[in-house]
Amino acid sequence: MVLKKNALSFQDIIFKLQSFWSSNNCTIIQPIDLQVGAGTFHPATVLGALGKKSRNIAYVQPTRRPTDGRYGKNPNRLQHYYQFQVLLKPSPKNIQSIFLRSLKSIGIDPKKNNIQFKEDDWESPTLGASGLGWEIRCNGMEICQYTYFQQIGGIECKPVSVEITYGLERLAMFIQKVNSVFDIVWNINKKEKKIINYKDIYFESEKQFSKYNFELANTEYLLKSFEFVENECKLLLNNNLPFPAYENCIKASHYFNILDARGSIGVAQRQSYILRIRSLVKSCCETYIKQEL
Amino acid sequence: MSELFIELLSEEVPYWLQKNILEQFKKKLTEAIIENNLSLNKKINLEANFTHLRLVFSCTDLIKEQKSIIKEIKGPPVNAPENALTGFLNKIGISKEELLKKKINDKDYYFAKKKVIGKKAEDVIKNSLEEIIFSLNWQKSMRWIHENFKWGRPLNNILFYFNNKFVPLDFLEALSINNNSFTISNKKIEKEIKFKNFSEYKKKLSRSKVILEQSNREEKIRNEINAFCKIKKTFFKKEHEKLISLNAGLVEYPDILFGKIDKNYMALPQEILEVVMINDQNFIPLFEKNNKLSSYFVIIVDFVEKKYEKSIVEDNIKVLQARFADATFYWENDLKTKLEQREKLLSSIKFHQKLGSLEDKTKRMEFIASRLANNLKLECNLKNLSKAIKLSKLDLTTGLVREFPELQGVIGGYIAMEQNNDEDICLSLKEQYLPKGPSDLCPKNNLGILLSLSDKIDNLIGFFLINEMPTSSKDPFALRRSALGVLRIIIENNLKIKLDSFFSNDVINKYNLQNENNFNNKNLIIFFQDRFRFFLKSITKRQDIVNAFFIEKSFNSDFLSLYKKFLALNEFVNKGEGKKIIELNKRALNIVTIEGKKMKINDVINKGLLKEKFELILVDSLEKLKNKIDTEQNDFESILNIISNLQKPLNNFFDNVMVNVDDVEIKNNRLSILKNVLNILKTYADFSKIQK
Repeated sequence: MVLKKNALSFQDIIFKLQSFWSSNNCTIIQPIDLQVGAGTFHPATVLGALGKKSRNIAYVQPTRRPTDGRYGKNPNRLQHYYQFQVLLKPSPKNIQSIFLRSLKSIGIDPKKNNIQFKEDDWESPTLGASGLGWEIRCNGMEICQYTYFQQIGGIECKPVSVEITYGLERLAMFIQKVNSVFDIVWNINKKEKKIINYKDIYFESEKQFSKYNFELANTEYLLKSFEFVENECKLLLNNNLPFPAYENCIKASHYFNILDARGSIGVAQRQSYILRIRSLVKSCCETYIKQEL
Repeated sequence: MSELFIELLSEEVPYWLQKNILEQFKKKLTEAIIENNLSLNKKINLEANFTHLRLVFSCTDLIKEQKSIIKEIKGPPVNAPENALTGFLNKIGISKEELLKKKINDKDYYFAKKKVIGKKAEDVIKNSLEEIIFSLNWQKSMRWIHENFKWGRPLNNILFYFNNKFVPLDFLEALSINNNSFTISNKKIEKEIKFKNFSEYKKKLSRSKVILEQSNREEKIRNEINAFCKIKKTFFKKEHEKLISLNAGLVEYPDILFGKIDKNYMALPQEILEVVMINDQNFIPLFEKNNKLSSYFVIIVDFVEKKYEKSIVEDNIKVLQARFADATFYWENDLKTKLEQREKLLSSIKFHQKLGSLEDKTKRMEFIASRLANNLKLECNLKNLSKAIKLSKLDLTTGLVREFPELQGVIGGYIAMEQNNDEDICLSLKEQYLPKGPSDLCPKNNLGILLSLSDKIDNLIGFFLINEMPTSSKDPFALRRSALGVLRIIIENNLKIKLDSFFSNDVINKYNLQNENNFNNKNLIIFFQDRFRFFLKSITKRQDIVNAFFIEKSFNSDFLSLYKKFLALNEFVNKGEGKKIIELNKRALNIVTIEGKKMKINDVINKGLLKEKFELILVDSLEKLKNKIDTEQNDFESILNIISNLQKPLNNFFDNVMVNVDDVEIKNNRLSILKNVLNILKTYADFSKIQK
C-alpha cells in the first residue's frame, strides 16, 4: 500500500484537525470514556451547549453503532468508528469560511473539489435535540455534518451553538483515495519503513463485536441493566448530580442500541424505550441548567 | 425616476425554501411600493431573482420622494363635550380657529386640514424592509446569533441601493447581520465585488460565475445535456425536469459533468440504479430510445476549473458505485429466499399498532379486492389476484426495501419475476403503490388496479376507523395521497363504482376493532369529496367553476359520473355557450332576490294564470328540461344542450313579458316561473358563482 503523494495518514488527519481548531480558539479535550452512539453524546456537547457560557471545544470521539456492524465484510460500514467533533458557542459569524479552511488544512481544497452543502436537518429523538444545517459532501461523498443546535433536552439553545462533525474514516478514504475503510493507512512508521493499516488495528475486533452485537449479547442482562441505570439516573437526579446522572443516560442508550441490534425490540416497544431515555436526558439537562444559573 | 436594488446574502438555503420565500418577499415588497405610492407607473416593474445564497430584488420607475398632500381628518361632532375637542386639537397639533365644519348625515363635525409631508422613498422602503424580514412565513427556519430572529439559514448581509447610492440599514446591527455595500463572487473565486448600481452588479457577478436567474441556470444545464445526448444518442426524461430545477437551485454557476456506470452494475434492476442516482445524489439519469436506462448520467457541480473536472467525476462515480455494490449485495441476498418463504415473517411486522400486522392487512386487502373485482366487473384471473395480494407486502421483508424504502413494490415485482411468476402478477406488484403523486402514472392492468385500490381503501378505512384522520398540517399516513390516488384510478380507468358501498359493516368488521361504531362513513366520503374538489381545481385552474359545481353537500360517491358531469360543465363554460346562461341566471336571480324580500314567491307555477305567449313557451321549455334531467341523468352534454336552449325563451320572456304588473297573483306567478328556472339550473350547477 503506497499513499498518494502528500496524502495524510489517519493519525495525521487527527493531528491536523486538532492543531487547526486549536489555533482557531478551541480547547482540545478528550473523548468521553463510555460507549456512545455519536460524538454529540459527549457531556461537553450535550450539557455544554446549554446555558449562556461561551464554549469552544474539539475532540475525537470513538463511536459505536452496533447495528452497523458487518463482520468486517462491508468496505464502508463499521460498528465502531471515529468522529472528530467541534462545538462553538456562540456560533461565530464567519464559521463557514473557518470550516472550509479546516478542510484545506487536511488537503481538501474547496477550489479543486465540489463541496456541497446539502440540506440535512438533524434530530436526535433520544437526546430530545434538534438543529438545522447540512451534510457536507465532497465530490458526492458525505464527509461532515454541520448543525446549528436549536434545542437540546427539550430546552431552547440560547445562544445557538454550531456543531461540526467530521467522519474521520470517510475523510481518510477520500484523502487517501482508498476504496475500503480497512485499507486506510493509519500510520507510516518511517524509521521501520512499516505501514500500519486500519485493518491491522480494527479488522479482528469488528468481526468479534459483530458476532457479539448480533448473536451473543445477553438480552436479559441488557434489559435488566437498562432498568438499573434508569433507576440510578433518577436517584442521582434526586441528589442534584446531573453529570453522573447523564452518564447513566449514555449507558441506557448503549444498552438500547445493542438490544436493537439483537432484534429484541419490537417496533412498538422501540418508541417507548426512546421516550424513556429522552425523559431522563431532559431531566439531566434541566437539573444542569438550574445549577448553571 | 429612481431605481431600487436589494440583495440578501445568506448561507446555503435549501432550494424549496428559498423559492418560496422569494415569492413572499416579492409580494410584500410590491405591496409596500403600491401602498406608499412610490411607483410612477401602475404596473410595478419588480424583478426578483435567487440563488441558494442570494435573494435579489430590483425595481425601476420609482419616485424619489412622496408628494406632500393635504389630508382632511375627521374630528368629534360639533356638539361633543369640550374635552373631546381639546383632545383632537392636541393630537393634530392645530388651534381651534383652523378647524372646518362639515355635515355628515345631518350632523356637524369638525374637520382639520393637515399637510402630510411626503417622505423620501428610500426611507419608506427602509422601514418596509425591516418589517418584511420579520414577517416572512418560513416553513422551516432557525436562529443563529440573535436570540429570536429567524431565517432559513444564517443571513450574513443585506445591502440596499437606491438611486445608485448605498443606503445604510441601521436596524441590522442589532440583529448581527452585516450591512456591507459590496457583495461576493461565486465562492470558488472568493472575491469581493464593488459596484455603483444594479446593472453593474449584474455585469460583474456574471463575470465572477454567478448566474442570477434560475431560468438561465436551468437553460445552461438543459442545453449542455442536450448537446451531450445528441452525441451519445440518449435523452433525459421529461419527468426529470424537476431534477434540473433542483440542481439549478443548488448552485450559482452550474457546470455540467457526465459520468458512466460500470457495465457490471447495469444488470441490477433499473429502478434501483435510478433511485440511488436521483434520491441520493441528485444525478440526472439518461435513457436510450426504448426508455432503457443508459450507462451515462449527469452530475451538476458549482463552477469548477476544467483541469479538476476529471477527478471530480471519478470521485462521484466511486461514491455511486459503492452504493450500487451495497445494492448488489442485498439483491443477491434477497433472491436466495423465495418470496413465499417470507410469508411467515409478515405476521411479525406491525402495520400499525391498532390495525394489526401486515398479514392482517393483506387479508383485508384480499376481501376488499375480491369485492371490487365483483363490483367493477373487471376481468381478471381470481387465482392470480389472490396470489398477487398474498405476495404484495412480502418485499417489505427484504434487505433491498429496508435500504431503499421508496422501491417497495418494484422490488417485489422484480423478485417475483426472477422466481417465474405470471407476468401479470409481477406487473401488478410493481404498480401497487401507483400513483405516488399527482403527476405519477396510474396502474393500467386490471390486477394492478385492484391491488392499488384495495391497498389504498384499506389504509383509508383503517386510519379513519382509529381516528387518525389528517389534520390541516399533518398527514403522517399520506391519506390525502391515497384518496387522490383512488379517485384518479377510478377516473382514468373509467370505473363505475359507488365508493360508499365499501364503507359498510361487513368490511369494517374485518378490522376487529372494539369501538368501530364510532365510524361515520360520511366523514370519509366528505374527505373524498374534498380531494375531488382539489383534483378538479388542479385540472381546470378555475376555482369558481369548481365552487359552482359543488352545489350542496350531497353524498354521491360515484366519482366517475361526477367527473364527467364536471367536465361537461367546464367545457360549457369555457366554450362560451355558458356565458349567456350565466348572464340570464344572474338577471333572474336579481329579480327573484329583490322581489322575494317583498313577497313570498310560490314554488309551483299556476298554469291557469299563464296568459302571454312567451311565458307559455318558457314554461313549456322548462318542463322539457325537467323531463330530460329526470330521464337521462347521465347524459350531461345533452342536458347542458337543453339548458343552453333555454336561452331564447328566457330572453323573449325578459323582453316581452312584464313581471312587475299590478295584479299581484299574476306577478307572483311570473316570479314563480323565474324561481323555477333558477331551481332547475341549480340542479346542475350554481351558475351565479361562475365569474365569466
